[in-house]
Amino acid sequence: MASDDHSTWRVNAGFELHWRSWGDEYVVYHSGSGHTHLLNHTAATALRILQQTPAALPELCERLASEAGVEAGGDLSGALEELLADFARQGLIERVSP
Amino acid sequence: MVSMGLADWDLLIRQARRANLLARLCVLLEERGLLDAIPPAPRNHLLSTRTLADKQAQAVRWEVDCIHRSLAKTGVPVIVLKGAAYVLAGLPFARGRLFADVDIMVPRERIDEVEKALMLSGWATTHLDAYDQRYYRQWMHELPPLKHVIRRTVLDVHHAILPDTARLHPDAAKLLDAALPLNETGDLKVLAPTDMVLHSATHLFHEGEFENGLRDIVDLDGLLRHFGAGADFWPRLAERARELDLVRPLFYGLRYTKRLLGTPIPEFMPAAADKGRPPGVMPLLMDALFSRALAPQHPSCDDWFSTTARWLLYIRSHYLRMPLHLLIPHLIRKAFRADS
Amino acid sequence: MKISALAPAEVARRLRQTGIVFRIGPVTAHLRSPVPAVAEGLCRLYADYPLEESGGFADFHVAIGPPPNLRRWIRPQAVFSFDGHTPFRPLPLEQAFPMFEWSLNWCVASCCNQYLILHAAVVEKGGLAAILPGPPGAGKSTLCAALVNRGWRLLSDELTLVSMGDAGLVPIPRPVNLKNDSIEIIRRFAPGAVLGRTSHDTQKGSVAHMKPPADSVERADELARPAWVIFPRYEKGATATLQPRSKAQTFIYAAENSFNYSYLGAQGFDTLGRLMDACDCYDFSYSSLDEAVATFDGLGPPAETGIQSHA
Repeated sequence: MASDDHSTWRVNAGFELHWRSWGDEYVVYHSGSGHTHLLNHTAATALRILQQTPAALPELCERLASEAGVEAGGDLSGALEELLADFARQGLIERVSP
Repeated sequence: MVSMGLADWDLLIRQARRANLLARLCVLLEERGLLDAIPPAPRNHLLSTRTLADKQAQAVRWEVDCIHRSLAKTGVPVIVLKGAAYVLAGLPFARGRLFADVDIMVPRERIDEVEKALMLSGWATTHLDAYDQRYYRQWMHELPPLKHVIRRTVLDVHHAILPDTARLHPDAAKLLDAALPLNETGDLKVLAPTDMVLHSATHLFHEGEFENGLRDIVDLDGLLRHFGAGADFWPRLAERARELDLVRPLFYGLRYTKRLLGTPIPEFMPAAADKGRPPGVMPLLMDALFSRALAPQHPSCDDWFSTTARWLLYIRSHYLRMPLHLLIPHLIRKAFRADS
Repeated sequence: MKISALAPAEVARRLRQTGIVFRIGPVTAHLRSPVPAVAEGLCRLYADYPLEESGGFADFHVAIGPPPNLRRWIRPQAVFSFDGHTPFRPLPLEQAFPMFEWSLNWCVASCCNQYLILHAAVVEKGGLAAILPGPPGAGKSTLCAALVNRGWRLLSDELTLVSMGDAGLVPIPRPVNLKNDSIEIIRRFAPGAVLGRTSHDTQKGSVAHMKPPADSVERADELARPAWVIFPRYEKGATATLQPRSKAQTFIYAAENSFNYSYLGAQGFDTLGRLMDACDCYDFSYSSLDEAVATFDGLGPPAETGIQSHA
């Protein structure tokens, strides 16, 4: 999955996400796949941001830094790229068609 | 039904479970507002299986969504068949239907492209044995079943509804042309109503999978009741059966839905399908075979002839699909492997 | 009327002929079997279970009998059938009773989607229940057997039935399945406990079942409130220690080890979420059963957690 392009990502349309959290750990249920995922604070925040508005990687980095208190930098962008690919593999998010 | 005693419920739940119709029964009772009047113990079994059917419907929607995403780049139109099609098209009788696999049909000339795209997305072929691969690719109307390596779901990719070697030759291109879109982009489709009926009848009377015989005839009944209400559906059905060379399955389909489930069928239809009547005493013999094969495979429904009837129909379905010289080696091979 | 009201010969005769219908908490089983070990097990371990009239509704019509082929002449075997359907391979005749126990678990686990069913033992005292999940061999059955011999009520040693919605726990008390060393450990720990015959060389090694306390069987209609999820681990020489563990991770473990979580969709998610809200979660290591029981007796009510859920 090439994500060096600046694709915009959104939560996979037509399905619901159900959330629960205890402390800084989250579980989220996806009504399409029927899978339940365990997320840490950063991953959960990233998914919630995409649930509110579709975003591309650089924008997502910025918003995570401001909303989740995650330090922006080279590492964050790389980690997020992997996270997005993982979300896409699980069917949680999809590329917005241009 | 609400006046049934607990002993009657006991037997009904057992038979319906074996016929894979428990969830369907639950939906029918629910739609008539009768579910609350049923004693709690049998009701729990109805609802429990209903939960399973709802899960399967959700899983099928997701599976089709995944297939569609995997094939989006190819632009190949995908026709969803059978149970998955009934769910996606929102047909009322699909509520509470239990099934396992997803079946799709694509144009024959693009099947290689489709197989490659599916393999890139994680589907792998299940029949690795060279004989099976050759059997499927040479004689069958589908690829060997594909299994998704992560989700473990099974997908059948067809390019026709009967094999080339079958004695009937419905033209797949005609089916594809008439298919109706399910989404805005139009690359996800289901068969047109008449074709859906004809495919269901063909599947039931020519494929030999009688484990779900009663469920399949319930499907056919559901399709006929649903579409039969539409203006000029019936004349179009008769016409289409001729066009597609499927008058014989239509003959059987109408005969047994009407007999077993009292499906409302207009009076002119049997005459229209009569060209499909097999010669001589065949219909009487088939009546004896089908009435047993279509009953639930539960000990309370079996008589001495049941197992033999299912076996004869299995042989017959193979006879209909393949010329005899091919059939004999294949059955021998199947029997041989079942033992090993 | 209880099964104990029937003489052993009568139990055997009925099992051979029309079968025996009895109730286990929320379910009714109709059992038929010509195998003497099954009759013996039923008399010994199911004495306190209420008999039901035959000719009514039974949830599970099961039989343990010889397989329908010639193999029985070569090596005696038993096969389980669920209403004429045989989902499992035959086992040696000696394992007929454990086979009945495993098969009945299978029936409940595959046909009762009105509950979220977790793979865990569950016991209750003072209205509060402890759920004991954990991989096979971690010692959940041993600890469960020890607790029910010291005043805890048995809800189940294998199947935790959670009511959909309110997450109340529904008892389905059955004989406790003890394996290998635990058989001797429990004999020593509770000399008064009634154990069935030991079956050797099963897939799980040696197996014996312990009769549940009569009080647990009598109170099978009394639901319990979930309070703790505790993962027991037997560790040689360890002092009994409770270590808090993450609720979200416990949620995922319970979901993955549930028999039907994946069928229940958003409702299953919601029910398991409520269960986690209600419970304190711990890892528990122990070596002495006496210490372990004392630790459980000392458990305080669960902390009220800030319940957070989002649509």
